[in-house]
Amino acid sequence: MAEAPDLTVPFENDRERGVFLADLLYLTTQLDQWRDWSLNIEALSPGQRAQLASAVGPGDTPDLKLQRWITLFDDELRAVSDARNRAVHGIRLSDRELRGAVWLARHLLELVEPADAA
Amino acid sequence: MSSESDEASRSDHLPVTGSSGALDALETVRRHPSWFFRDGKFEPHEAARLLADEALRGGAETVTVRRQGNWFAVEADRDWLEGDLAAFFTPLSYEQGGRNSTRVEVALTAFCSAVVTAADNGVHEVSSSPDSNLQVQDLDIPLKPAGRVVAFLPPAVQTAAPQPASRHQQAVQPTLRLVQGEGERSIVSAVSSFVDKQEALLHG
Repeated sequence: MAEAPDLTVPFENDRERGVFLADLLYLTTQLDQWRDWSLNIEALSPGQRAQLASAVGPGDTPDLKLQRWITLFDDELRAVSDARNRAVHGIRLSDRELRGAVWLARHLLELVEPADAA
Repeated sequence: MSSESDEASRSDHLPVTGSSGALDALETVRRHPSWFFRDGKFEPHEAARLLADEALRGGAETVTVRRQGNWFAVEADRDWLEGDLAAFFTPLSYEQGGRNSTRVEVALTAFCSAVVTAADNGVHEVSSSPDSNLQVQDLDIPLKPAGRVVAFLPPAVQTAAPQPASRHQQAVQPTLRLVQGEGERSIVSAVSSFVDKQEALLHG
């Protein structure tokens, strides 16, 4: 289980901030892909489905898990997308906001991406 | 190879600290408030005066300084930044200010709880903190069809029990408003709720 991160640590310099911005763009692209797949699970490759199936508990299915993921974390997914949208429209995210958005995006992905695919 | 005179000439036009280097320009400004303020700390009246001076030197004929609630706003009938907002993010000199001049906008971004600017190409929220959203109802600054307005909320301004704007008030607010501080609040809240919810995904 992921524990709440310390978001109060400021970035040391523009380079570190830039790395986090790049991470945010990459991770939100991945999240968008999983959102699409949750609406159309048929689009998943057989290999991805097999990997997902291996990561669900007894009585659960990959479809149900994805549906739960998008329903349960709707607010969090939206918060990450909003942060990405602000960043790409030239609005400067605060250090806390950027750090939090990247942490959240990474952990949202970890919940659906099979470990050996991440 | 560049000659010494080339270097000297180039340095006349370079910002004091660029954002492309290893140093974060805003962080550098925060460490050196005395570059801008005589008492060595952010002073809103002095900031407003420097902004007004910058606007006048930039060709404005009418400059108005307003105080609304805790906000300060400087309005001018000419866009003294000529549409370029770079001055909010790095120290920049400007020709009309003289050889060793520095635009003060970067100090607003570095020290203030919120900074918003507007010109004929639209409103740009330069920065805002979650707390500054509580004072957005005071940001009732009319926009001019031409020129520029810069509004800033000085740091660490505490208000007694701020009242949130009603739905009606929000509907008739002018176009200046804050969204960034709300973004930070939203992410911090989402991180917290994620930590609480993640177990529910695993156990259905």
